[in-house]
Amino acid sequence: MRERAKKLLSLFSVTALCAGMLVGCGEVDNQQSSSSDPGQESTGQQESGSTESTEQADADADAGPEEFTYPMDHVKLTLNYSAEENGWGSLSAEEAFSDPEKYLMGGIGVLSQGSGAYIETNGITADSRGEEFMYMLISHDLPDIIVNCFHKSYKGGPAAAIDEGYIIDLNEHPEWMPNYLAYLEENPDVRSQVTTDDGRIWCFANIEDTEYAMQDRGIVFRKDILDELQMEVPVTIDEFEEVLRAVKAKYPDMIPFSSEMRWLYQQAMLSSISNAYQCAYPFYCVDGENVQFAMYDDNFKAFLQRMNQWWEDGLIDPDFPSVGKGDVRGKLAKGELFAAHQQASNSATSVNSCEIEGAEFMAIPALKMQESDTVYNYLLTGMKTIYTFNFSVSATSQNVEAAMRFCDFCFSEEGQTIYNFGLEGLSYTRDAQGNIQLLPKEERYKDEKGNGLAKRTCWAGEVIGEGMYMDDVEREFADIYNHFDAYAGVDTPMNDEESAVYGSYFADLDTYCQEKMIGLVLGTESFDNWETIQATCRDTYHADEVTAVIQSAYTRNLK
Amino acid sequence: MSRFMTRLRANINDSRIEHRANTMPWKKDLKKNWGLYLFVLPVIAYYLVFCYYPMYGATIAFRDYNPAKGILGSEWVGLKHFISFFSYPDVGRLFRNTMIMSVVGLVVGRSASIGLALMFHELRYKRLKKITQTISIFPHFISMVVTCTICMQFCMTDGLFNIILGWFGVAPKNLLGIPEAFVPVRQIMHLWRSVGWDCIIMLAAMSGVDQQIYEAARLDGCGRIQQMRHITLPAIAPTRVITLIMAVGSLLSVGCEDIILLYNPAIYETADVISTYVYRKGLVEFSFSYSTAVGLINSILNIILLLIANKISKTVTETSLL
Amino acid sequence: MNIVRKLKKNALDIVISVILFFLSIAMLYPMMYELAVSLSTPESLVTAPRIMWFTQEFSTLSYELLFRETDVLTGYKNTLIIMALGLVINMVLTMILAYFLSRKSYKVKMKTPVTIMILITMYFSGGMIPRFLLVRDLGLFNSYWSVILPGAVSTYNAILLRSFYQSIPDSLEESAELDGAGHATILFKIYFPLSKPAMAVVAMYYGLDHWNRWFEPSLYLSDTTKHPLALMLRKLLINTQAAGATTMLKSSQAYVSHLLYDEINTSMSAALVVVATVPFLLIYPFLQKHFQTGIMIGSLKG
Repeated sequence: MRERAKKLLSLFSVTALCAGMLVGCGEVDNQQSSSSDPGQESTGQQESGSTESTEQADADADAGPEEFTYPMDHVKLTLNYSAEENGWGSLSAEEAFSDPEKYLMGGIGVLSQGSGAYIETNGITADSRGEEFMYMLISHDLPDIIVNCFHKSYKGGPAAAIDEGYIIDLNEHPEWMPNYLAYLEENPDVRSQVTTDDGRIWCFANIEDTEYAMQDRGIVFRKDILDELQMEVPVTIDEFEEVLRAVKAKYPDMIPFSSEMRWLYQQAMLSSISNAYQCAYPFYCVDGENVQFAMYDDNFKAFLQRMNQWWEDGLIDPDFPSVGKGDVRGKLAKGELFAAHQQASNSATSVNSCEIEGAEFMAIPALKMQESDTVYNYLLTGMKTIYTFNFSVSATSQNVEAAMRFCDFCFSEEGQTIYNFGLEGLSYTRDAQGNIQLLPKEERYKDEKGNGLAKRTCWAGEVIGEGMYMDDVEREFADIYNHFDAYAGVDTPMNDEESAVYGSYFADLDTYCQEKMIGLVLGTESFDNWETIQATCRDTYHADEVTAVIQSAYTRNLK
Repeated sequence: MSRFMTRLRANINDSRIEHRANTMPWKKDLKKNWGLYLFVLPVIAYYLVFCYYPMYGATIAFRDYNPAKGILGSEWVGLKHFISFFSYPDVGRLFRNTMIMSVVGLVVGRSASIGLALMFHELRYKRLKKITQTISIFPHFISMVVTCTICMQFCMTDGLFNIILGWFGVAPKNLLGIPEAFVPVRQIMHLWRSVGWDCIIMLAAMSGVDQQIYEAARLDGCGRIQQMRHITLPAIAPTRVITLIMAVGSLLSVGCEDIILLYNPAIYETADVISTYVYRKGLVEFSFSYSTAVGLINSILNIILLLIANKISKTVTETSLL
Repeated sequence: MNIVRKLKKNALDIVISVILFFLSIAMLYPMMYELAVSLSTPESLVTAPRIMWFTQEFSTLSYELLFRETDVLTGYKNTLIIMALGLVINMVLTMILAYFLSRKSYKVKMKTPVTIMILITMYFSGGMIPRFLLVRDLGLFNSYWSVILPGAVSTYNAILLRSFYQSIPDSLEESAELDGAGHATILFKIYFPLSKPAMAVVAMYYGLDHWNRWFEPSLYLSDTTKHPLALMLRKLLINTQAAGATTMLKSSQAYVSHLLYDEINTSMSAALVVVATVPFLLIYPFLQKHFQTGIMIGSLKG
């Protein structure tokens, strides 16, 4: 007991000392961070805008009674995010105060070091579709920061969450989030997504990496076998089919092509093949104006017919209905499979585990009908989109300022670098041009501190440099898959009425379409019924209404 | 009549419930049984506190539940959620599949567990009996996720099931892509997983049979098969009937965990049940009200089934829940 | 001749033995599979064959990770505490209820109403929300009682036990009553020893329930140091997509490539299943002997 008290006392005095010192050099710090803040990532555009906002931030800071500097005095914040989801470890804030070095374990620990706020999680999942999350709301026992997806699945959306007294409108305290406001100023796309219809800001956004943009899946095949067949690398769907047929003819024991079946019917996942027909299930927009529903499109019918033909001719894995990703990558690694459609990371696993002599793997971009065709990205609209989980400040928080300051820290230059890359020297170095170079994995995992830095966490802020974290093979493949000419995604934030319509009709429509699509491909459903299926979608499952709300959200957001 | 049959009758009669009417006035009853009532009071208290007090929560089936407003403060919407469930065009299919799966499970599962229990009971090699019986409960400890993973491997074109089917000249096909195969496959998986565990209760009932009856039967020259038919099976009748009634009363509750892991849109025709449908709905927007409403429909139908089963059992076997 | 007669006499035993032998092989498989997976290197699991009886490349990595990097021992302790406390409460209350339900309705007027009352609870419940609020209002949050008390009696088990009590001859009880024995004495001195097989089964039902329960703990026990094993296993199993197991580690000093997250996850959860099952298998023989040998009611009667 006594020892602990001693320890605490000494810690306290050290902290006080540090704080004093930091206040002393605060002015310098502040200037540094604000002057370099938005400039670097915005690649020099909007110069005037950013200076304006910096001035604004400075003015805010000046207006306060004392000038604010990071790190704050040690303050404990709680949030909901199950520790298992992100690897923050199970250290409590108390432990962190007593041994800050140890707290460097996850990226969040480093963020805490930078900002001064220590985070303790209550272990509740951030998914507001999850029961645990709902129970947290029911109990009104809220953490300081609520990690949530109110914009995706909460009745009434974020606006309702503010009205019901769960989270605060961040606009109430602009003085505590200068960096974030500057960021929003620069990124109107993000601003519109974090602002409710009546102009309230509900969260600190977590922004997806636009570099790899989920387009990390595609076709990978055995190059050595292609060479043995003396064939060219396929570019069009016809060429690809020819290769598959040649493989089937020459190696009857080999499965020509395999993929998880769910990618046929989950959002645009098999688009590297369906791109040849310029469509993808369920919704897409290739002309930048009109949202199309796949089941209404005859191109999509042609795509399904092609898949059906492949299935009938034995070009597709006979286990197509039930293979999982582990099976596909296992088959590829074991040499049972010629070509697969899977995630780049899974392909990399196959490649690394393959022990076949002379096996060579190659990835190709999405297939086309003619070589001159466009390759679309069916997942993205071209706007910066916020990720599933975002960070709101709870209305019951005792320490709103610290919570906001902590979230805001990630939008500063320093915070963003820490968030994405860790600490200089421990997990990255800078080259002569000042560009960040991650240390090799072995270095980063070398000791307790470094090893934690190698894990990235999900946090407010913009995710950058995803590629640096990839395995070499994975990056090579992902770069190929990521090649596209234009956006055709339609996933944009909906307003209340739109999401109500979507919520009540989409699940049933989706079930019906999935069943029919799979039936058509596997030959248990006849293509003669195509019109009937379309009519059923329209009349029974409200496909028109669903398309209409997606269209209206799309039009509103992309204007 | 032989000695053992008389003894058996007497034994079974003991276990019957008499349906004589109780005409005693309440006052007298309380005076006579107060000790017993006091004895059972803690249990009654448990039921009142943990089961009855929270029942107000069932009203969220008729409300649009909103966590901020609380259960009693949420907006009353009447039958909205029920109508929404029944307006799903394929709702008939959900009920049909649920019933098929649970009836098959009931018939096959019970016969198998009683059969297995009989085998264990009859086997005279004590050591073998002990070991095999212990092994038979192993699969029950493996989580459903893993069991389903193994089952999926067996269903592959080169998996175990197809190898066995191959002996009978059936061409290999992925079994999880064929609608007709789903119910058998799932049933085999469940048998494999829980038949050993389920037969324990039957074993316990069998071991409760008075050994003297068997001795009497042996003296009468009864063979072992006959003993099984005329002593063991009738003697465990109360347990069999009670578990049967309860099983009938939960025919509409088919868990969704295993089905979600095994099924895919190609076999929704036979694999989609009420619980999986509610689960899929919940992926879009989690709604306590909606799932409570569906749960309520389930409960009502289950109770009706239970009452019917109980009534039949009362007249046929004179065993009943009440 | 002699052999034929002997064979004939033992025919049934031989047939049963053969059937049970093959069944045992089938039923041993999942456990062997889990063992094999838990003892293989993650790399070798990528190309593992469909049917796996033995390890691919031997490694104890998953066990090392489990014991060094996760709180598996704390989980163990929690499960055992919950189970020990829970089982005592479960069994006592269930026995009392079963005893009450086995009374004759013409002798005890309250019997029918009580039976109906408890049967209703099998079908109608207020759902989890009011129960959750109740547990909170009772101040049970974050204590083991929050997991134990709400499920203290299972109606199903009580009715099962009742059907066993009913087969105990009335004469035994009547003679005890004449000796002036109270209800508690009758229940614990006469019913308890006579229904040991059933008690063993009901105890196992409850025990496994405690062993597998993860939903209530995930709601009521926010303190991770109170989480039982089942909840830990659940978290390993459902997080196969993201970096489930690897991020559950306090600090993964052994570097595992993120490309093998799925495999390490599978292998760690298999290790956890093996570790969690062992105690149950150790206890089982003690329970098993109760329902493997018949009892002699007649001898007690006399």
